[in-house]
Amino acid sequence: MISIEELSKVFQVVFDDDELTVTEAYTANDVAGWDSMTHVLLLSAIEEKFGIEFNQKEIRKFQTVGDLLNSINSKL
Amino acid sequence: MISILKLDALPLFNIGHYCTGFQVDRGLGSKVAVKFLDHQLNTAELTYRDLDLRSNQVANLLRKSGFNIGDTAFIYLPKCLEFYEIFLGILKSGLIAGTLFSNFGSEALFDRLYDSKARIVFTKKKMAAKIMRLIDQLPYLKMIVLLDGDDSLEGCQVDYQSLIQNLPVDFSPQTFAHDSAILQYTSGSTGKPKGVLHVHKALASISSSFDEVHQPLDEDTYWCTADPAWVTGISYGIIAPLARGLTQIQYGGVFDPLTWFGIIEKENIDLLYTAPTVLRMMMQYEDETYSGFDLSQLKRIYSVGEPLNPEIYKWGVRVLKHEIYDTWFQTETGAIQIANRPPLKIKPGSMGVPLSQTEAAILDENYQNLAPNTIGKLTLKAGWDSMFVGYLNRPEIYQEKFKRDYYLSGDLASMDEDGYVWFKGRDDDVINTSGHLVSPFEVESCLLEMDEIADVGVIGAPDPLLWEKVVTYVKLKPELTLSSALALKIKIYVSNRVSPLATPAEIIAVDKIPKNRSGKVMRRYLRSIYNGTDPGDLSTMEEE
Repeated sequence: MISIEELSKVFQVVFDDDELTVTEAYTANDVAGWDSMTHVLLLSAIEEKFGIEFNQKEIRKFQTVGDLLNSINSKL
Repeated sequence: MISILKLDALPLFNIGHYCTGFQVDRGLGSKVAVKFLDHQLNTAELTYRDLDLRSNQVANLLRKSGFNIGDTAFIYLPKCLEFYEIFLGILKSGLIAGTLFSNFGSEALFDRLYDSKARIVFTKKKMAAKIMRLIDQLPYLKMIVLLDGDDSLEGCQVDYQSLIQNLPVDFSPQTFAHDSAILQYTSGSTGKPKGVLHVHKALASISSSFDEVHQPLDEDTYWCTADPAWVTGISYGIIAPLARGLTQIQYGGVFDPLTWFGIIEKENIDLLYTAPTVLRMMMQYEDETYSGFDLSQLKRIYSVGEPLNPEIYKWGVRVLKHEIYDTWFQTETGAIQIANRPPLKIKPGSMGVPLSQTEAAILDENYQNLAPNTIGKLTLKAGWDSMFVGYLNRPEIYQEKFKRDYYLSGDLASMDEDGYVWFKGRDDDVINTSGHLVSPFEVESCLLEMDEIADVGVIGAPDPLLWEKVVTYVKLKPELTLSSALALKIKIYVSNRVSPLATPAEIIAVDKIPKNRSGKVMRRYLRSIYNGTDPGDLSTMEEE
């Protein structure tokens, strides 16, 4: 089970912002630079960090960071 | 309707004034100029009078702060309502306005701010942190204006709202038509990004092309989805609709097809100007996704950035019940030069026909005209009003872009008997990904700074979504192998330092990067390996 703090660390690396702290309610609109390009990179970083894999179908369903967190934890 | 501006009759001429005060003077003061929707679809508006007064305050701020005509001011912001008043205010002040993508990495920022000797940057606090890391290397930068400034301002940072709120709302621009106005950086196949400079009279081409291609009516509502850091976002997302006195919509959220079509329907968009990559992303959804939207108000859809595949055109007709008009221009041309537009019949896959004021020619290696349907260099007869006037600090490269009084676009194309132009590729190594040009040299330079990489070669390769993707060949330092973790590290390194757009989609480890005898990466050879095609003449390749 990973925490929102651990997930925030991945966001910090991908978005080059050491102070970035996400909450479960965050969407792509709340993080500067989170667009379709960086989204791919973010998911790859999460897969690498936590040793999981996303499929295309679930990727489209992610609306919030909370959705992402729940999906990660369901795979651990 | 204003079509062609009579610049000779206007010794003093300023784009910012034409887009605001001039519109107020002709009775549009209370008309909404920009309606901005944030990501939650909350709206905020500026009338032409609001935009005039607020941009005057920005101009007063710049002049009062000691900046002079010809100094460079950058906007480093995501899409927001203030973008418009700041951009136009910079132009009114006589400073040169530059724009930076909000997702630029530190190296991309440094290259542009340093090369331009930027004096002032308008940004937000979070984004300013990237500039503050570079501040010691930017001796000309004197002021960072924060739109969300608070009590914790550092160094040269100042707060936007508190600075402009009491400044006068009158300002008289003192620029001439030939004065520098806009600076936009573009990537070439060699060297750092080049600053493309345009002057105030560029407005004449921007306005006339907008009238000829988009054919707006006074009451039309217009939406250009391009980022204002891109040439399309400036020429057709700020200047053209304001100079035409239209109401335009801008949306600050990320791409989502349902949201976008909801906006088109609810805001009664008449004219939509977007990009093939966006249209290809829309195509990935089921056709039924769009069946519930009433698009009866939408008159025309236009596209720009990279070639519009015939498949997208057919999808538009089938699913959206609209033809999609492809258009072509570059940062250097400043305004559309070739386009599909009514009443011309669209030939799917063609970028259209040169505009009435454009003289396009397809030239061979010796710069002689080629027969119809023959592939050659796409060139434009020099001298149109929005033609760039120089690459900042690079006069020799500027001269190389002209032969026989023709501007060399760098695109390869053919022209058929009816005058339709067909894109065939690039005659240099520049990568066009999602309509944005990426310099392979810039990515290679960045990656050579990584401890793990001994040598690198970067090429563009065909991609069904992006048009082209960035492919990176790497020679790793001894004892290292390309693990998934290292591949990810390489991607994040490029994304953070150059731009997410420049991020390699594919990384391939090799023992040796092919070079010619003068040590230049042979990208042609790498492309042939990747695409499985004939590499051609390899006589100049460096031997083992």
